[in-house]
Amino acid sequence: MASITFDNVVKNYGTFQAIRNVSFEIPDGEFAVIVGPSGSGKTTMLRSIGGLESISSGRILIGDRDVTNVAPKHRDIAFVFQNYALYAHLTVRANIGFPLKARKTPKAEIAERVEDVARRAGLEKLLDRKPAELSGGQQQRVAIARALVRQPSVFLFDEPMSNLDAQLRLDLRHEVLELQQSLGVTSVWVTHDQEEAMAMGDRILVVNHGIVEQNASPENLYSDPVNSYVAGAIGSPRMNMIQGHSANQVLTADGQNYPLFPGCPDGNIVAGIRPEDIHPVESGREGSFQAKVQLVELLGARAIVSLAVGDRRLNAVFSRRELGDIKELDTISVSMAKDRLLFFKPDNGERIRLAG
Amino acid sequence: MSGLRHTKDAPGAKPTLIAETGRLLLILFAVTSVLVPLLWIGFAAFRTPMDLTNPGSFTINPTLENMREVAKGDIPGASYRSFLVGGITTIIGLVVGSMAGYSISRFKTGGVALRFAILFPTIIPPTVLAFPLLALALQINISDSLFAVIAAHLTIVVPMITWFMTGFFAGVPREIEEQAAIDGLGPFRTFFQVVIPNVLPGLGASALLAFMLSWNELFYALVLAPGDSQTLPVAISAFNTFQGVKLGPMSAALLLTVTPVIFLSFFIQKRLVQGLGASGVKG
Repeated sequence: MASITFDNVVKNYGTFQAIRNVSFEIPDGEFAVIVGPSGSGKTTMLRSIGGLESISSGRILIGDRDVTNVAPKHRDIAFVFQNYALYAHLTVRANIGFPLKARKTPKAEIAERVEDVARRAGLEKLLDRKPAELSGGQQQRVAIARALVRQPSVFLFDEPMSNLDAQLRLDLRHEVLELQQSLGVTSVWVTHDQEEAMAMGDRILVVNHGIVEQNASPENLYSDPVNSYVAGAIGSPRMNMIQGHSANQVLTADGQNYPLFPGCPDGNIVAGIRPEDIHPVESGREGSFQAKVQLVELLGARAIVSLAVGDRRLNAVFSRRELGDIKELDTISVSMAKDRLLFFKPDNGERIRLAG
Repeated sequence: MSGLRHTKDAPGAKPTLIAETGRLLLILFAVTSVLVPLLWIGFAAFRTPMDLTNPGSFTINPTLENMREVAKGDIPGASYRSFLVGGITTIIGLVVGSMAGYSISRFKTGGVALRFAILFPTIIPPTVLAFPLLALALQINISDSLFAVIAAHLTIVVPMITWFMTGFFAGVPREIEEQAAIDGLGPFRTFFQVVIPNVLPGLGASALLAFMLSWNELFYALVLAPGDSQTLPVAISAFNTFQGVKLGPMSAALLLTVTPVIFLSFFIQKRLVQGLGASGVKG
């Protein structure tokens, strides 16, 4: 068990900076998710923790130990790759036992531990098969079992489910979380899927262009993003961003007026409102504005409603009850939940926090 | 490539009668030009010298006389030496070639240039290289020995296997090696325990191809070991005497020589195409 610390880490590839002076700490036993678009540096960060990538400057610590220049095999980590990286010529049993065999563990102990891990991962019946004879989900289970078998102090997962279908992902997600919770091993999971990040992480690091935009719990990221990038990256459908000029508690954008409330910042701002914080109200109510319903996507208990306000599209999520008999091409009154509005600077996207 | 084939097989796009006939004629021509000499050798190997003097006739009084003569002469010894030369050439070629191929594929040793330049030695005609090699062999006292022949064959086999294996190694996912590094293997154990098992088909094809090249090779062997260390092709060429070509025994010897080759090609042809494809496309 160990925490993971990045201390001013920089990674250059020639002139390209993949990690730009990043510092963070993942406490012992937490399940941390690094989320970001492709090319954001998230995989490079993970590979740096594992020692598969050397860093250009800074320090990486696992627990209290500086592992910056330590070989992967001495870092006491296990890595699960996107393409599983199973040894194709070995059986499932030999694959899972490989890390132990490579470290000259006694045969009897290997057999015992492989059996134990295989049981946990639901692979008992497949131990004598070759990887090619397994489905994608089973192959990934073998890769995870191989990571578990050595009982390392850190688990690293590099988009391990991106080659699996949706239902299997959900199942495996639960299994991984249960395993992690029962073992209490510090884990880092890389994904580009913000929903997966929200569902799995005790902590999420939102990465973009080689920096960590925000490092916080899922609840905090969602309700209290530090900038417009994080606000847009977390939550689905995305937060609506309305850029305009604010004066006298009215935001004017593209010729449309959006009522704000006392205490809102004046000047050029970006107002952010999540789809689920836009609600239909009776017409004429204070703080409401008119919108035309363009599209209703019913998802069961909720519906994604696409609204047109002038030329602008706003996404809203209505509950079944709110939706009522609203249908496409209706013009309705909506309001934004006041306390859920967030404001950002238009130039750098930084959050404008309200006084008090 | 698969796309092209797909359109060809698409329903409604049936080839015309003329195209189909042309295709079959072409195949027939190719097959005939390969098979006729082989059949002729197989035929001649069991004909009497008398019958052979009349190439126009197809009479046959089957005889094992030719085979007996071959068995008496130097052919069995030469076969053994050829087997030895082929075997040793193949083993050295595999060890050096697979390691070189891995290095070029993984570490970009020598850059893109070396990937293709590695084949240059095979372009040099044996006639150019044979006499410098002979001079060298004389100097270090290994002329007319199997060592000289093996060394000469390696000039062909090592580049060929290196190039061939480079393509196969490129197909091995890098993550497997990274996994091995995390599991605690060093570079050599990673190579032998993790990488090599992934390229066994390629290694097998390389081995057979190398063996066949060496087994069939005449010119180097003739120049470097014409005396007591004759290989099979050299021994067979000896049937071309000053009294004329001894067609019967020569055919019998040839039949014995090509049979293992045909047998082997049957096994490797599929892998061979695969290997050539792998090497070419991913450059």
